[in-house]
Amino acid sequence: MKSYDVIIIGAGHNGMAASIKLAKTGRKVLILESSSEFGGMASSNILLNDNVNQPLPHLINHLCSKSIKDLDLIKYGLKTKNFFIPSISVDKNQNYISFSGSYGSQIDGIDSNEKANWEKLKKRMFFQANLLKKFLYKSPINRENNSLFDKLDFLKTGINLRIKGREEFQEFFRMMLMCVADILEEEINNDLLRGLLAFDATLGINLGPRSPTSYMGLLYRLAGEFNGAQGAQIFPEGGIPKLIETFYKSSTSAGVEFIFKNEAKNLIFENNKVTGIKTQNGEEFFADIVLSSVSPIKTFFDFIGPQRLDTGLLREIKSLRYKGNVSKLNLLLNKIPKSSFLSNEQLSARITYTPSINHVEENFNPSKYQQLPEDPNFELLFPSIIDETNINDNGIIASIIIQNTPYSLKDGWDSSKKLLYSKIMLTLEKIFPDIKKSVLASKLISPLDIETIFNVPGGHWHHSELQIDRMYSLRPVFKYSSYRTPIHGLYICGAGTHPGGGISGKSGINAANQIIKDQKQNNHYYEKRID
Amino acid sequence: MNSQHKNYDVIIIGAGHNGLVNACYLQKAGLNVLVLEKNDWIGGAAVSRELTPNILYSNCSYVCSLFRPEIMRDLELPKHGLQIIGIEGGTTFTQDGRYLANYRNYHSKRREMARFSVKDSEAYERYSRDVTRQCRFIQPLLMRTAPDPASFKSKDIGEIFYLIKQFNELSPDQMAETIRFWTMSISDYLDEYFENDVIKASLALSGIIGTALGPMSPGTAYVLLHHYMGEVDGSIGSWGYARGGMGAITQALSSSFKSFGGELITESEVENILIKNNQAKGVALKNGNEFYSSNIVSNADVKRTFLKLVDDKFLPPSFVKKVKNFKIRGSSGKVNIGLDSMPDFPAVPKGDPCIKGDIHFTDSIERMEKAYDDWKNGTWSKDPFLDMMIPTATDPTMAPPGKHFMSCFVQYCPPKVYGKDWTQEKKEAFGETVIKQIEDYSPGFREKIIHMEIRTPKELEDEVGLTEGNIFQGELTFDQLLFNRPVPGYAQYRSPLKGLYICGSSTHPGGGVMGAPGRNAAIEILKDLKKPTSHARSAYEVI
Repeated sequence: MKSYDVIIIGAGHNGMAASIKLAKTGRKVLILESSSEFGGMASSNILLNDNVNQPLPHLINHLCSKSIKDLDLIKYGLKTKNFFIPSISVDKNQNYISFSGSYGSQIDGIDSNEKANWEKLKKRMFFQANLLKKFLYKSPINRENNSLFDKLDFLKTGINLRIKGREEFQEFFRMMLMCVADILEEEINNDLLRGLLAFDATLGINLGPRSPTSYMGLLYRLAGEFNGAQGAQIFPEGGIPKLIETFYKSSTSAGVEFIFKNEAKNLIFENNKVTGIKTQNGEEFFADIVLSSVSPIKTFFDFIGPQRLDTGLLREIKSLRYKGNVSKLNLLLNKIPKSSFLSNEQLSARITYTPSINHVEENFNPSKYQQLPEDPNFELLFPSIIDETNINDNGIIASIIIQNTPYSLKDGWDSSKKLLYSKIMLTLEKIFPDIKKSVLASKLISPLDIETIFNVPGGHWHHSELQIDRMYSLRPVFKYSSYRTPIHGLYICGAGTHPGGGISGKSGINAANQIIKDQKQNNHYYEKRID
Repeated sequence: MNSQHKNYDVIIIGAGHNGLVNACYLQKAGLNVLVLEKNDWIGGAAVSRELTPNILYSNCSYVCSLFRPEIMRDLELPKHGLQIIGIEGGTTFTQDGRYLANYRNYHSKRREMARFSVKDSEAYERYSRDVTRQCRFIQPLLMRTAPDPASFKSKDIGEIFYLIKQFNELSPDQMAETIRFWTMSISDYLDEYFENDVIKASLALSGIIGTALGPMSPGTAYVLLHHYMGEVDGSIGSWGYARGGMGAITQALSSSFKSFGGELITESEVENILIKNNQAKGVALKNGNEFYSSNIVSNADVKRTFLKLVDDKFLPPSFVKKVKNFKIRGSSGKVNIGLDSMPDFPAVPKGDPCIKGDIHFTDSIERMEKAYDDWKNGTWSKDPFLDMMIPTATDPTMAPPGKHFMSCFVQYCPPKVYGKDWTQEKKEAFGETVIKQIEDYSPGFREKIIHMEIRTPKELEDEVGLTEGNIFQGELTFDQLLFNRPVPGYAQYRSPLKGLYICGSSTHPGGGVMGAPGRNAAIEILKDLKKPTSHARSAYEVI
């Protein structure tokens, strides 16, 4: 009989983040991973050909300095020198703007008037994002965490907001739930800039820029930081796999045990308490605490099981929107592509094809009816151009994230993949005229593929929809937003919990803190709880 | 004219229902009130007009439910001839030739749903309980002035504490539900209860009527609530016809106003509001007359009032910018039809009361959302969503025996087509889209038409004076509700200019023939003038 203090299901970055926190307090921690690699959705499971792989995510913008410190990432090889990645928003007529620094501190390609407008808007957005940031990196207030001390944050934020003046105060409450398109149209005129911001606000969620509350998506992004640089988008030295490796190294050095290729099958219960895990191949592991870093859908349905959930909760979990709409296209090219209007230097930027708000909105429309967009929006990155340590002898990698490609398609994914590929290629050819000839290998990963490869129901990058009605204490559901579940000893920490989204490790850290707190108090909350 | 030298306590611009409600309360408090109306008829968008001999048209608004019962009693409207008749039912036709009736009787309604899905008919119990709970939370706020959260005045702080107290009375789970409800799309919200498309579509319609949003846009669950809050005879969420058309409401208001001694002049369009030293002084009419008063109330929407009736130079630039940023989007049209006889609907058994209410032909959320996509692209919906009614099937006073008036509210219809003005040709094509849809479900319908009036947002703007023809005088999105309506800092019916007020649907709590904005504005004006407000009763504890 193997027994541990904590067993964590899934070696994604959140699972590993939690394991580091827990192991550092002297707990004996085991991580069970179904695949042969650590990293979850950020792992290098996706092979382009026999030698080359490129993971799903390619940039980070939510790794705050506190997390880096908490997880000892620098000690295990994270370089904070890093690369701020500029964005270049292009259209098919060779127009472009370039957007650099930590979220647009410099912009080229717009006139001075427009620059002033952008500065004004940016200042306001940063101020608002800053107010919200505090809540992003903390366990949410909910049924259990609602002491006066917890509520103090709200009061402090209110005061901070009010002393900024009447105007900012009013604008905050007016803008918060608006659609991003209205805000952009009120303040700036440049289509490429508007398009880029509209894309950033809605990337990864099922909203268009004209859907109310979509501005929240932009604030969420701007509330992110990398090691203190707010709103920055970063390409970590060595790429995402290197970053994930630092999580792994930190975790193993803290004494965490990993078992790969052994999928958790079901939990072992004793009354309403979890005591261990039974794996696919029949092994049993025992622990008082089990922490699941997989999607809440999977945790509640597969691990806990409907028979142990009350009707209301079952209904709520069922109603979670967890169908992804982002696909990934990885290309292997035989040489650095030549652009007809971008310089070679500019190829180390994130290139977005987001010509205007209306274009982004029109792209969103078909996805509501399970159809592919006519002229998809995407962002493109060349990891091997950005970072020489990431150069591959086999060729140049192009990493493309495609928005508005729904999980379930009316025509099915099998026949649609080719179509989507050719649509992307059509746009790429306008930027890089001879790119098509230089493609050595390509791999398109739809949300459906993400579901099968990474074992994430719905293939959603954030495990479940990251919209305002499922954020903060409403994530994944109000009752269990403190990383707990109805089962004594079972906790959750995946991207489906607050704050979710991006490689931040925060969900994992928060969950670990919750476990430590609960065990310290010893009088476990379940006993005093009245449901 | 003599009257132009006469000094009034208050002048109200526009004899719409809110202007008249406002006028009644002010006059009843003993003030000397003058109402000016640009048309030769009164009522704004709540009118009954004889557009073809002997048939009365409710050619703008067409049903009544939101009108606050408190106002009806304060102003003794039943005594002045107002009578509301409850609607017996409604129906949604499906493309495959079936129908889903929506009876006023709760149990009949659930039995009807069970024909489509037993599970949904059970879920309806949960749904109506949850939505009613949201109503109960929001309804008392309708008849109160929204607080200014940026202010340190005791009344604002007091009001904020009242709101917090209201919210705190909910259990934690209900609080979470309320927050979610306010921010969700009606489509997502219904998905949490129902499985059947037809049932979802028939319930989703209230979430989009009058707004420039589709059923999949977040925030439409609140719009549903806005329509659901109404009541007829204490029955929440039900709708009724005003006997004699919607004009009966404004006629009763005008009669009530006159009985208190008020003065109303029609055919007097206001050209601009006279301002001196930051203080309203009077109004100048298009016909050259001027009327003087140091209190002016505008029933026009916020854009029309501050961008057209008041000269820019009198207003702070930041305020003008906010007004310009206020979103008023024309999204609906109207086709009014005079009929020779009652249309047949073969899908429904003869005599079923469900065709006496609101009739819809949109049987899935997807069709509704696609109609919205057309509007976003700049044109009218090719497969529009109709909210169609035949009031004369219930109220025989509006047409000669056998003849009927039919009102078709059409969503979505833009104020301009692909950025260009409406032409007669396009207007007819728009009307044809509507007729065709009805004809599909009612063979021979076309032959029964004896008169037809097609109204795009353009006509609504020209005739009634609603900017872009928006029936709510401004979108009901979060950024334009409560203390943000119409603009932050001026949500208490006042303006940056002394003595200038607004009382239309641009203000809290927003559109619909509700009367609450007019009443709330009257109370604020009376407070400023230090007059008693005891004749305006506070909201009933209705539900």
